[in-house]
Amino acid sequence: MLRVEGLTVHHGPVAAVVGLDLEVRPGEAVALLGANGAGKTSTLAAISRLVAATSGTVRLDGRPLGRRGADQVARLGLLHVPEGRRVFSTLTVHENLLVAGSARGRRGGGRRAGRALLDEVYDLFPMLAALRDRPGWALSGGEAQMVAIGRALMGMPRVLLLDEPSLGLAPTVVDAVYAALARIRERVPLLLVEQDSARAFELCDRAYVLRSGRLALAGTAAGLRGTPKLVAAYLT
Amino acid sequence: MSELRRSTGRTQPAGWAGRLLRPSTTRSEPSLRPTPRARRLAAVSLATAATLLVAVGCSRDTAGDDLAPASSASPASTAAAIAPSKKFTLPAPVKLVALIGDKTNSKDPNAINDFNDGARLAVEDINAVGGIGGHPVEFAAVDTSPTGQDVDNSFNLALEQKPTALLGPVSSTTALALLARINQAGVPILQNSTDGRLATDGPSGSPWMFGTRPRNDTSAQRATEFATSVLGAKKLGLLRVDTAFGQQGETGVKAGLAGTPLVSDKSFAYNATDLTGEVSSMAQAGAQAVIDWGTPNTLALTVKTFAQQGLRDVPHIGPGSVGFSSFATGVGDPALLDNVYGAVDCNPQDDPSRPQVGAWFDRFKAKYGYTPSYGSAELYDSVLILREVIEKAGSADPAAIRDGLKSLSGFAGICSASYANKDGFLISQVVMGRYQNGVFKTQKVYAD
Amino acid sequence: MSGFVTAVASALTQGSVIALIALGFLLIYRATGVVNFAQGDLVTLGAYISYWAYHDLELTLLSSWLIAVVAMFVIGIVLERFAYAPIRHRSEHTVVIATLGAALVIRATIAIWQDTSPKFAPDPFHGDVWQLAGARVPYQNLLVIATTVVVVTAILLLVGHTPFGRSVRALAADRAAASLVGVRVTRTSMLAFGLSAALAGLAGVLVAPTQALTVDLGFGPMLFAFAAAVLVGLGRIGAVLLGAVAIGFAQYVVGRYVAPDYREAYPFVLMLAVLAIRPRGLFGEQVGRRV
Ligand SMILES: Nc1ncnc2c1ncn2[C@@H]1O[C@H](COP(=O)(O)OP(=O)(O)OP(=O)(O)O)[C@@H](O)[C@H]1O
Ligand SMILES: [Mg+2]
Repeated sequence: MLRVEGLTVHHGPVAAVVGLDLEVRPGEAVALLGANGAGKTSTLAAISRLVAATSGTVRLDGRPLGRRGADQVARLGLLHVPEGRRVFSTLTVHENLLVAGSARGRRGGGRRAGRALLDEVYDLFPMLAALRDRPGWALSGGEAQMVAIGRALMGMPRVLLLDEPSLGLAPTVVDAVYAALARIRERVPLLLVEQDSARAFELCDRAYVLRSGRLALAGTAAGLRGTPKLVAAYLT
Repeated sequence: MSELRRSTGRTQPAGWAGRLLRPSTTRSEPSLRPTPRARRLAAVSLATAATLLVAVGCSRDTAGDDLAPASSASPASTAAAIAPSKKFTLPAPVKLVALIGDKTNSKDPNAINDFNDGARLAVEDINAVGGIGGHPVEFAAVDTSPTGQDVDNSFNLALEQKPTALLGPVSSTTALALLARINQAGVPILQNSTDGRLATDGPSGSPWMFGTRPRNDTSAQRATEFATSVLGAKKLGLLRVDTAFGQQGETGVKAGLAGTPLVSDKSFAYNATDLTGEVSSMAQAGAQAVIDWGTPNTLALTVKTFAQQGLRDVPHIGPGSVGFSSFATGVGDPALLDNVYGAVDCNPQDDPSRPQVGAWFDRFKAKYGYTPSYGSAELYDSVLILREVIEKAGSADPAAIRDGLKSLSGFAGICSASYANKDGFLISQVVMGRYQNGVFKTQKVYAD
Repeated sequence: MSGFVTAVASALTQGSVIALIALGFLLIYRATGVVNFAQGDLVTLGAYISYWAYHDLELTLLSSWLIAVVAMFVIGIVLERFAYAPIRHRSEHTVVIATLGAALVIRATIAIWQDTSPKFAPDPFHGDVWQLAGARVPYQNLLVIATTVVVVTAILLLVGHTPFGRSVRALAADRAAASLVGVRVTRTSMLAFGLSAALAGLAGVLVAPTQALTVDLGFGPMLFAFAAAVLVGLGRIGAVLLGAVAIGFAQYVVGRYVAPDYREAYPFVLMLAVLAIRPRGLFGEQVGRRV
């Protein structure tokens, strides 16, 4: 589904990611773990073309993304829910969802499909229905996270990249977000960046652990869960 | 890249909502159909083309015959245009450099060719009768702009050509900026600004600099005298740009009033875009003629505003720039100019008293294809004045030329019949003209 | 009284022209983050294209206006492709300077093409005026005001309620996030440049008959439009109309009674005064983030 080979990312002189290989197979949820500054966000940003990689290839369904820009990559169905939600502050919740329909591109998306998708998003996050007309700047962290995820869903993702969806949220809200992710996971392959490894192992099949931009560990969630000390050593 | 697109188009969307979005119709091979983008592009182009066609279809009936090319010059007359050159020998050719940009290469958005073309015609005439001192006269033009480093730079470019004398600049700002350089260079310069500060004894005078246009305040004074004594205005209005040019205009107007009241006096910025308030206050004050000392741009604006504010019957008197043919062409509608007067230095297109001016006018127009202005005539005269001064002195030495210009008197040129130095200005004649059917007609000549 | 009416008419006309220009460059600013300093010269170009279509192609006046607006739309897209797209990943300063460069090129081209002597653009009313309380207000000025009201309303609807408008607002709120949700960045920026140039062209053909057509036609008003946009806080499209009219009033109504010689500086005085009291502009939230 999604395959990353030899990905290297620099921010100016800083090498944030070095020679990373990873893969997300159809039907799979994969976690990408690591301490602060390990290069997780940089990896997702390079995959979605938010930043330009120094080298490496990203393939979707076996085809390299080539020189596409972030918006073109999104329209192919590779959707990225960024760190810090990045909800459009001047747009209402509903408009946030509508504008994200752009990502369906020409993969399908008449008006009717758009309406059906909207219904599904409101169904997945019933809270949002009541907030339809609230502007982005007036949302709480949890609400904003739901909008950010809902927005990505409006683009009919074929692979969904999520960057720390639980960051800064109250535990009950994190529960709600993860309940939704569990439903999404049944239809869309996920690549999930998360600080909270316990949550990640619950949701995911496999995990990669980064340390200073390099792959340090990889394995099944069950296997890694069995070696908590080892994992913890890499995550702090 | 197209491969990926194609496959995504053909397959049922996987992933999220795949179950919602069954393909409703089987798509034909996408590569054989125009892509939506191509289709949209085509639609936009078609719409654009259609609009253009419709618009062209509404085209007014073309009159056609008013576009006849300007009659190609009558066969060059074999007789020389000017008196033959004196036989004497100079060690090197006379080189004239004009600090005046041409329209096509000037940094000054208001540049016109009138000036340089006048000089070019004179150089050609002189060279046809033997040049000066046994050599053909050489001529070059260097653009100047009235700003900082640029002025210096163009002056350097001019000096590098080792000029015998300089012509221009046409802007007083440039002339003022160059003052120190001119004194230091010690090259005679015949400048074309009307700024009285450049008088030899004025605050910015130079022994090397001589004006070939009448002083700005003199023109404004004559315009005022004309308004009261010829047009019989009992109350005058004054519009003026808030620069030195406008201030000098005001000084001249006040000098020319001779008791006639100035009922409204309004100044405005050179870049004003709406002068309705100023113009209508002229009407309210009951001005019977308005002196308008503005720039070509503000004058064009006030001409329009006079018509809109119902002041067509009030004589509207501007400075020299009103007399330029480009001004009349720009205005387009001759009816708007019916009551527009200008205080010009001379009016070569209508000078019935001196047939040689008419002949010169025809030659110029045939050669350059437009109506020469007083500026053309003055540059033409400047070059001939220099010939006379050099021939009289028998030398192209800068000091000799300077002294010759200083004592110049009674030189018969095209613009003035009698050039003479008065405090650094070689001419003080002012001609009042008025547009009639779009042609600038001489009304009164205030001689030197 | 008639003097006051004249001043108000001038203020509203000026406010309208400024609003049309400000609208154009806000559209580009919001869609691309770039302040397009070529906006004023696009106004001038639009006016000259219609002048040329009227005089040289001998089209009817309205066709010449239509041609100019359509041509300006295309020119806006060309400008986006050649002056903006190749350098849009560079720093904003580079891009802003490129727009200034484009402005100079446009102006020089006009000067060579149509020389620089002031020209008169005709209006469909043959210079007729509406007599109101002793004042004479040209119908063309009323047309400018009316068109502006219609166009501003249309643009507000476009930006507020269409997919294109949502894309523009999403890009303005967060360019990166907008591209992550697939907003068509290139198409939106092309359309924004096209529309904005068409607006400039419209401003040009409408305003030229109210004054003399010169190569400076759009440049001064553009600076005022910039002041208007900053005055209300860059970003708010609706509010800019208010800023524009405020500037028109400062120039012609206040300027009629107080130091008329300095009125061309009033827009900036007003802008600086407002910024001194409210650094983000009257309604602004995000001045200073860009530009
Ligand atoms: N825009 C940037 N400019 C310079 N350096 C950056 C930039 N973004 C990230 N970095 C650096 O790159 C490295 C990787 O950062 P990245 O944000 O990818 O880490 P992360 O794993 O997502 O961390 P966190 O868990 O804190 O979100 C860090 O050393 C960081 O300081
Ligand atoms: Mg991160």
